[in-house]
Amino acid sequence: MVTVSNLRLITQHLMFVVLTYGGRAGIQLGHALPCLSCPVVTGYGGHCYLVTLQSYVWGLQMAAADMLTAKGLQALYQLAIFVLLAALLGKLWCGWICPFGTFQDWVSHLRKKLGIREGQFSWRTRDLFKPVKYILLAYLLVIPLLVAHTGLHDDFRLPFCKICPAKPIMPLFVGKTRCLELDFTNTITMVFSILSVGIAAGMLVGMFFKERFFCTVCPMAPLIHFVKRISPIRFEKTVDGCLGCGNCHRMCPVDIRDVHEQQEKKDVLTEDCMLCMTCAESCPQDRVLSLKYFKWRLFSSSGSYVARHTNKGDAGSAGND
Amino acid sequence: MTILFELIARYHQPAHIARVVALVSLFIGTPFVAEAHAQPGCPPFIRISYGDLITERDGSLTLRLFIRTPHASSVLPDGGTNLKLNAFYETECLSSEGPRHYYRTSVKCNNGVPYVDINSGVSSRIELTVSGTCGNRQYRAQTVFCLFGISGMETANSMSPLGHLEVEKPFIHLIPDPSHRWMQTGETYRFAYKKGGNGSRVADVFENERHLETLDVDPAGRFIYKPPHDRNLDRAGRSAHKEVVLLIKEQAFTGTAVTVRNHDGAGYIRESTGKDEYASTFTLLLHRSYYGHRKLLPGIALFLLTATVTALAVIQKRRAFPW
Repeated sequence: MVTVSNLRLITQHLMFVVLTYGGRAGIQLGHALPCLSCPVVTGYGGHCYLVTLQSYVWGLQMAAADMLTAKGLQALYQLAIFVLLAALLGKLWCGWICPFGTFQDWVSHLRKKLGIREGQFSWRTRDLFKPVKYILLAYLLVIPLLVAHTGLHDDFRLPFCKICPAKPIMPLFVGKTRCLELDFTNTITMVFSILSVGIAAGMLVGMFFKERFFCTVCPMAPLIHFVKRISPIRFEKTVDGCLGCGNCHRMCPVDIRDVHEQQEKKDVLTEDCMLCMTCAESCPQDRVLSLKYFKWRLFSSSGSYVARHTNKGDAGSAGND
Repeated sequence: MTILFELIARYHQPAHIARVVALVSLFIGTPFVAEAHAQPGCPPFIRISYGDLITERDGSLTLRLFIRTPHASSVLPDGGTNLKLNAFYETECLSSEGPRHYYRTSVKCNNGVPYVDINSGVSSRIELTVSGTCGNRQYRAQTVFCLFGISGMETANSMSPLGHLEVEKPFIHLIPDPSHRWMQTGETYRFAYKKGGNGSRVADVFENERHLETLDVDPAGRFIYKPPHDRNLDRAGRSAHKEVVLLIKEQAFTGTAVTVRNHDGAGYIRESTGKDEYASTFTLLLHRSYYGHRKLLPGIALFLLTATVTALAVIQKRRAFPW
């Protein structure tokens, strides 16, 4: 029987192949994807909007004078495509499509296979991590503007890509080791390349011990969350039916407690949520947690689903160990 | 002059003095005579120099290229009008396999400096050639660059492409390579010099009037230039650039046949020879090397070291019981 977890797994792997190798088969999904698909990967099938946003071609590094030209229209076009894609699929991009997210799941899977316990953060540490994604977002928005308009050194261009852990790691899937190199061209390039390699190594260890570790600081998450209001994707909780068992919190790979604690609002889609549906799969109450697309209910929690899959030992497979 | 007075004092006969004066004037006058042969007002060579790149409203790009003499500040005499400058360029679309197109473009003048504007609305590799003549000296100036326009029109000037255009020899041909989209120091550039005369054996490399090196040109006209890394470019940023000019000069003897009639009406052919000078330049717009200063081994070492230290820190610091 096809479970949500299995369906997600199949989609993730399919999208990993499409976004990493699709270009070799002529697939090109554009330059405004709301997921970390790195353009440094030779033969990519579409790349991350963060690159476009920072660049001088269609992004913030474009000179102000160019904003009124066809180049400016192209920049708006790319932004519109991003908003459309982010609105259409919302956080499904993170949990179901993002190739770097899939890679993180593989690393976590390896840890589980090795029988190593997952690391746990204290709530204080989790709260400390929360603003990091906004700091990174501000960093990637401000630095290109400074490069374009205040004469900041050109080597600060694409500032987020310079420290993004996906950049050194993802090209390894096509046999490209170039992004692991240290660049001794000048002091700025050397510092950035040391940061890039160091952050990638640290993140790799982090995602080994903690599921979806990078997603807690990913600046794409707040960008997608900005378009939540116009998105047809809804993740809702029927507060009245909740028994407060806490399964949703325990099973969540990114330790979101809002779903469990929410006692008033119907909407429980937070910016850290990646719509993996693990919580809904583990909720034993009928229709307490539901994923909706416009008015259509795509998946709802149910006692029978939990019973069926718990007996088979499926339900807990995606969560803790 | 001291020598002259000494000679006058020693040989004060008029015949001797006349001989000495003739000898001295020969020595003093020779450079001026030589200058007169090289035609005053004719620069030793012309070169292409890069100007501003302008993004047009329709998304096409216009690049201004100046035609200059060896000295960056100097202007061409009469704004280059006496050189009879001609310019044409060849475009090759980078995004699709298509035919090459040839366009003739007008040479304009601004404050005594001739220039051409090249426009492209698509991603294209453009090879510009400017030719000129001054007396018996013939000039070629060339360069290759890429424009990444997004208007979709190959050229905004709506110029109809010419058919195949044979470049007049001599000229310097940069053998195409994908790396030429962004020319960098440390890369190898292969050239083929299509000869006009007997063929030059050397090519001189200049940067800002400074002679950098002399390259050997093989009998078939091929030569290789590998620009060394430049610390100033490395420090300046990714889009910083410099111009390097390759110069080949050669001379060719040209024969002209003239039919001369004797006083009795019989004719005979008398051959006279002239000497043409060719000065061909190629301007390379070089950026800093993108990969030249990268090292993989230290990168891998740093990666492994950081990963090990982080893993040890996590294992050491993490709590024994999560809840």
